[in-house]
Amino acid sequence: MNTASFQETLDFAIGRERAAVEFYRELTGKAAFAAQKSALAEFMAMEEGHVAMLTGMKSRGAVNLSPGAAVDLGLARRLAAEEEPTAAMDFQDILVAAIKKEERSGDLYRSLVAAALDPDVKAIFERLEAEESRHKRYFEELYETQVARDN
Amino acid sequence: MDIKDFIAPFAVWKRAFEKPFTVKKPIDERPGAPRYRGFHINDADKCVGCGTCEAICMNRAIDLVPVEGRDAKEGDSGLRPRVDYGRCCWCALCVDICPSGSLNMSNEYVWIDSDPDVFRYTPGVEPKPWDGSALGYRRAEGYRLLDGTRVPMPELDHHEAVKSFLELVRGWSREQAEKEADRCVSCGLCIASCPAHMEIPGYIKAVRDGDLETGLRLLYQTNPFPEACGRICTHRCEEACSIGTDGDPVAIRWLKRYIADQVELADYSKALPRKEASSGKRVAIVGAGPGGLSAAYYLALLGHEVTVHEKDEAAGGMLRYGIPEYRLPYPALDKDIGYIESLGVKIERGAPVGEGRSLASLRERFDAVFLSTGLPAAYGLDVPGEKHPRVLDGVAVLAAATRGQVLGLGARVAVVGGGNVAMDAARTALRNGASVDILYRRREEDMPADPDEIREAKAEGARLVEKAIPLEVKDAGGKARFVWNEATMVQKEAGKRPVPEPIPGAIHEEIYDSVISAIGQGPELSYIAEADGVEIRRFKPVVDRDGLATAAGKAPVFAGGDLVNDRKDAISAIADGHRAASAIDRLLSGKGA
Amino acid sequence: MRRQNEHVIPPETRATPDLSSGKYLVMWQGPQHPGITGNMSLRLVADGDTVVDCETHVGYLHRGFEKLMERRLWMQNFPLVCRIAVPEPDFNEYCYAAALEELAGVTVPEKAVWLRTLSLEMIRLASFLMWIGGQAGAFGHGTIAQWSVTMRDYVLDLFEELSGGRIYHMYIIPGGVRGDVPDGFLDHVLETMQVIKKNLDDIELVMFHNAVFKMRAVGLGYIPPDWVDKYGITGPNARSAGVARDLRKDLGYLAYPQLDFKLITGGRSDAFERAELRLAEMYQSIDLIRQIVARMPKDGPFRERLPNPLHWKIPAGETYVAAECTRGEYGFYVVSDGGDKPRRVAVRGPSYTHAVSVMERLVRGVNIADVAGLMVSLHTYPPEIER
Repeated sequence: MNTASFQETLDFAIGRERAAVEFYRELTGKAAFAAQKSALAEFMAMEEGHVAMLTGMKSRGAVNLSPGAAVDLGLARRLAAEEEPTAAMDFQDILVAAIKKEERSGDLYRSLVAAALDPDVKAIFERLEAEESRHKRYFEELYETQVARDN
Repeated sequence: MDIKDFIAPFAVWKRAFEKPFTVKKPIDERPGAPRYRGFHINDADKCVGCGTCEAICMNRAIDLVPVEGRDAKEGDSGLRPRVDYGRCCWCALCVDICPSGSLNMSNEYVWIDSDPDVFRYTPGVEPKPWDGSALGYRRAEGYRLLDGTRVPMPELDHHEAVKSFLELVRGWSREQAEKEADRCVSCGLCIASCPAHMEIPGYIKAVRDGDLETGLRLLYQTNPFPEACGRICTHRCEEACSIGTDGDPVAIRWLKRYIADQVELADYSKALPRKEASSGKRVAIVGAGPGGLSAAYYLALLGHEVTVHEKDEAAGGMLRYGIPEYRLPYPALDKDIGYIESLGVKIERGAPVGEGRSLASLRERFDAVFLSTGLPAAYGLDVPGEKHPRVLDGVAVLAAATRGQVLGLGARVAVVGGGNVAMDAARTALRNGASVDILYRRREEDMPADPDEIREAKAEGARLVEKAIPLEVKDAGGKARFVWNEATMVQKEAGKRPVPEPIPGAIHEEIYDSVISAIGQGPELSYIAEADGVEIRRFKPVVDRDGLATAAGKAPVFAGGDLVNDRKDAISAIADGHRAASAIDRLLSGKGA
Repeated sequence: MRRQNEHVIPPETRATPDLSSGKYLVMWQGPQHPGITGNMSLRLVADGDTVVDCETHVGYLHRGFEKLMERRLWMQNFPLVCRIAVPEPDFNEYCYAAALEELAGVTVPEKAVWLRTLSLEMIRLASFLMWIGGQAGAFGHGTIAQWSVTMRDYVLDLFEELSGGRIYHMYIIPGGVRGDVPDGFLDHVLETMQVIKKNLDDIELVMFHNAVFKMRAVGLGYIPPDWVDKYGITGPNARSAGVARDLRKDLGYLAYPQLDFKLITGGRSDAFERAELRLAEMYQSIDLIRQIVARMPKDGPFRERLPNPLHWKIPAGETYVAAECTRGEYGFYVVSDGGDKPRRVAVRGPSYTHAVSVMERLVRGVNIADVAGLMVSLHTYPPEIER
């Protein structure tokens, strides 16, 4: 793979993570009380971590991500909300938004994997897709243990 | 004397030609009888280290000792019996009494060693040649020194029960309670597993002795809600009970109820400690649930002036608004709360904290604040159509029932969820004449609800639909058409619980007058502002082991109960309240942490 | 040889020999002596080879059982009591259990009643087998002791099979017994009875038709009938004196009223006849065991459930429960103050009378060589004197 396409691919991924940071920043702007802000800040920090991680990989010139996808708990596809959380958002609303966001990222990378011609780029997208599945899994598990405790 | 007397003795000689009675190799040729009381064997995995063997041993030959690689856990002390053969008399009463049946004996005859210390050993932990022996002394079939059967609790017949909100469990007579109390071996495994660490063997002894005032005093040492907990406690103690290892655990919860039921509220003050002289300090408590009122009780006892701020029109929190009266009748709850109020605890009802009565202002006016606002907000179903007017929230339904409002659930009701709220909502709907389906995403054995509640809900006529993943709620002429996908349980990751995986195409639907959502509850935290300095992580205030959330700024803020702990039951909230009360007292009286 | 009608009744009062006169020999028999049947000793004053005075000394085996029992739970005492009389532990177990059951108002299941009776008859036989070895040995017939102790071991094998213990069976527990008979046990009992009976026939032949035994035992240790009440003599010692007394008949406890047996009495009341009478009772025991095996209920519960032994409290009260052991009346006096431990337990063993008061008087005028034989003929177990 040539350096240019590697850089491009990672720039794209970093852009996605930056957008995620923005997503939480925007939600934080709507938040009305401390609990919401703290949860959003935690998730935003996670995304910032991803930005830093990908930036580091870009400068080292190698993608160091596991190709193994996480187990799909199957929540994302069933959760209803496509609507944006409001000022009264509770933990459920925030987690659903997060799960949905990770799902959208996963979907995007999946279509990029399908579209990629360069096998090396394809491999990177596959790894990025797996990474997003792990993020989604993280939120799904939180949802299972913290929200849908009784179901 | 005749000639025979001189000749007959020579008859002994005939024995010289007979086969001798003795055997050449006594050990090999004559093994111990199958029942022989040889050396002790203990199934160390089955044993729970309750120490009943130690208690019955009249020679004090048994000591419970720590064993490497075995830690204490709920229902297991981590200790194992060590037998000292310098003291043992091989009576095997230890075998007879062992609650789990782990302790037995081999039929080994001989054990020779030149080192005298080896004869003090821990069976099942120090390997011996006779370990796992099938022969040797065992309790005979049908013979037990302990009673593995619980005294039956009189309950309303289920057909009768479902017709009214009368209390289902009727309570024991003195004779029944004393008989049940007799089953306890006072091992104390229960104390460790009780979140409040109640002095359980002590109050059970009080029941046996008929000394209910002592019993009440022991209850109130750690729990000012004996009437409530005697009915609805999640009784983790009974899971830990050593008698339960091979039989029914002692009905600790019902015994607690028995003590509280038998003593009149007017007589409480005779049995219970007086409050200390006024400290002049004032403590604000937010939420009059079990956590808040438990803190209030112990703080008031220590001489502090306590004001409880309660958003609802009555005190009790989830005990009142979440638990139906057939499980916890209001007079019983009122008795618990009444005694707490009698100590001078001021409960401001209908006084939510938030707008106009901010946390910051409480911190100005009081010397300490304890937050126990619980989990009042039901989480939504989160499927398309969840906003349908016939989709109700389980917590709200139960609260409305408490308030005596007309529920209007209709004839066919679906309850979604498998927790205690779901069971309570289902049984409330049944009592309102509805036919009820309980839909749960996993299997019955995965349900977080108390097994008794599940059993009773089914007995009262609720239909359980397992492995039903909610998909959508559609409108059906004003009613709700509930759509779900049948699932199969898939073990996706080793060591984790199986995941319900939708079976493609297995879509079911049913029309209901009401769909009650009871999938989980969340906190209401909008009253905590960033400026309050209470650290919140994932919608939970972060507290230290005393329940302290922040000591910076004005009065320190403590938090406890469902809001903070993961067990989310009344007894854990009570324990939190007690712990926070002690910490607040230390802080206010300057005794240090 | 003494003649049967030549009864010399020893004087009631002790002789007061002048020990400094040089005429008398003071010697101790026991506590380590094969003829003393346990840990006690006799301080004998002999004039030549004739005993003129005897003082019994106990105190070598004091374990303080009665006091220990006041510090232990009711059920914890159950493994303790059997140790009071080693060769016959079951009578202790039975008396203790029965006393508790009486105080607590517990009725024992039918099956347990029969199993207790079986156990008591088996130990009676075992105890007599041990005694007859001692009696023969005391007169120099050690071979018989080897036979009879072997036979006793066969009975202990049966106990091992039934209860898991050879010496201390700890089988008769308050409330009933600790287990039903194991498979095949009753057949083993009958087989063993067959073997023992054949051996008893041999013993009868070589011991009771034996010039030496007759010469030494006939007329030795004559107990006049009027001593029975005066000294409180019970058991074969009393029956040999012609007094028809047997608690199995008189109290009719356990399954004895349903068993067919006759009271065996004598009248000559000397060491020889007491031995004959005990031999007859051994045959009788074998017969009783066979009856029990035949008539015992096959099924049914063997123990009544009692309260948790860790908290068991017995209503306040007192009782005395007695049973006919091999040596006579064996009894437990138990007092409860309503607590979870006995307030007082007193054990009445027949050996106190037989080995102390009666022995001290009977030995006056006896040849030193016959002292051991005389003592064994009273069948005494020093452990039960001291408890």
